[in-house]
Amino acid sequence: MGPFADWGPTVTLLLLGAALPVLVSTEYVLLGASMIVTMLVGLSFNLLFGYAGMFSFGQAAFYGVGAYVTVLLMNNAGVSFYLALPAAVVAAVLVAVVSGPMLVRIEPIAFIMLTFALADLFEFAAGHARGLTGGDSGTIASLPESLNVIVSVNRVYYVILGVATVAVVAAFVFVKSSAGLVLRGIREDALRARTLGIAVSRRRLGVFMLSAGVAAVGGGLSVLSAQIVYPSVFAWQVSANALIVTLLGGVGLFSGPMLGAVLLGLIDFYVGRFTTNTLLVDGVVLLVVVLVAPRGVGASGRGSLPGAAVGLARGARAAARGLRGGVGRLRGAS
Amino acid sequence: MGTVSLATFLDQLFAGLGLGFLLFFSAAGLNLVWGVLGVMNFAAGAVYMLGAYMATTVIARIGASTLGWLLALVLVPLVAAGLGAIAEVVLLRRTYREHDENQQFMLTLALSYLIAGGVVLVYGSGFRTVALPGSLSGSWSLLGATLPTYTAVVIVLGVTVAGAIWALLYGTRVGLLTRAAVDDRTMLSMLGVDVNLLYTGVFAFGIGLGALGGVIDSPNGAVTTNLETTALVPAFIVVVTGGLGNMTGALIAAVSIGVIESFVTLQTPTLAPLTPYAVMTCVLLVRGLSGRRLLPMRVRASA
Repeated sequence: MGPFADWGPTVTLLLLGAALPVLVSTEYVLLGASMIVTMLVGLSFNLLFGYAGMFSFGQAAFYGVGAYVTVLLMNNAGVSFYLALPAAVVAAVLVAVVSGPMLVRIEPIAFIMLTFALADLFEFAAGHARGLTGGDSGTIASLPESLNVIVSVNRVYYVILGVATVAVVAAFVFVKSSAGLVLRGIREDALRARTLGIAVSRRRLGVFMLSAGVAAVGGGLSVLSAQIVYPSVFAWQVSANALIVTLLGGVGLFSGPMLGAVLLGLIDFYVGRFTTNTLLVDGVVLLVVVLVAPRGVGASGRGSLPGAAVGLARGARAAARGLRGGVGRLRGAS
Repeated sequence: MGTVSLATFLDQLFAGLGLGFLLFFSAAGLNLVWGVLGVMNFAAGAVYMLGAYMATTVIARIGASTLGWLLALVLVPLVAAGLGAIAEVVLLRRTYREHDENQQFMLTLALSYLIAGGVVLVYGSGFRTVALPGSLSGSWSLLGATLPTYTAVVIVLGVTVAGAIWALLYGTRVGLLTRAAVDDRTMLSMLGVDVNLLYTGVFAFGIGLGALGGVIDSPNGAVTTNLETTALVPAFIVVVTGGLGNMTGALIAAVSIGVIESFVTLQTPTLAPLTPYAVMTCVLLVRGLSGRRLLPMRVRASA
């Protein structure tokens, strides 16, 4: 895979994102904003799973901390958004520092289960601390007019895009650094890495903290696009979405979550016109991707668009074969 | 902490045991499937929810009578097990050779979406309730404490199911083969055993157990789509606390968490739902994170 496959689609998407308000109507600008937020959570998942082999199912915990700390600092302490967001990122990284030492040492399957439980713990806390969060009625963000998405859509959109770009660039620099390379080494063979004198748990904790920060940026930006924060920011569906977009775009491919977020956003947007049952839609999308291209559509196509099409076709054939086989076995069994 | 009378103590103990055995049903299904197939079944929560919803259908058709409840307790797990068998054959069977835990987890995640989507499609997104028949809604007096009939039924069912699993695993040929499959699947199939059929059976059994949990839980409150998460999180915690793949551990963890949570409810009701997390954290810190097994009846060594 050439280096272009890694940053090419990302740069293309960012340029396209910058031109979006000129090209399309407000409705699609809002869709773009929500895609950027989803993309950041996907990126945070990809940093863990794609580059370090750590399958987290609790990115919602950090996304939610990012959202709540941002909105509460703005509402209750009168802090400006541009200070509240970095503070929220710091808070999420602190959560990772506290929970991480135990989580990164536990066996892989338990890591999935316990990151999931961590997010659920936060959802419980947010739902019950009514005095602070308003419980299930949510917390409405008191935003200045310049950051009100209804008054100034394009301005808010560019703030979201700008902040997201900073996070994406930071993540890219990390992935390409020697630390990122070491992580991939750990992913491939943790025992060998340890034998080579690499502090595996500390490296894992490091990327866990970084990914927490990226997810928190997404959460903080969601305050701008949604203007209200509910305890459901901690719901496992947020973590599942991060997984789905990464898978859709390509695991371990830097552009993967970005491509995936755009794809899933479009699918949900257009299918949402026919049905409100997005659970079924997302379930089918996930099922097809896992069966057709378990490492992601982009990864199976080696990063190029024609390659992706070939990979998709190959996968579809394999899936059809598998389905026929499955049905045949069922017939044979009865 | 004020003095607790014997009656109050027994009240909380009964409630805790009921809660604990309820936890055991979903955790046991999850743990058995993990232990034998090596698949972490995320759909376990959705299956639990589906079980509760299917119970409301059976009760609505037959009526909230003793017969209706007996039918729900038998039929729903059977139907769920059948659906589970189909899902295993069509989706999971292809994944055993490569054995990518993450891919299998994602497949069951997709399944959970499809089940939840299907439930919304059939039942809508509102809540449902079911009532207990007169024969199950009474209570007994015991040393000044009240033992609700239904709690007693749950405890008896829990003990029976736990005993049945144990007897099945250690007293029958199927159990022997199941344990052999954990150790060496390839060797077992070379000896002429239909391992595929065995796996399908174990998965279906695990799904049936989860659905049974949902049926039993359905009269305890409104049946909503939230049941998926409220069932899955404690089940995960029980399985991790008891040791992955360790059935005795799961039973002990489930019952202890249930009883402790019940006593915490007496002191601080708002914090009671945090009990599973607290118990798990303590156990993990004491036992160590590597998952050293203190108890026998392990069906799978962890990776």
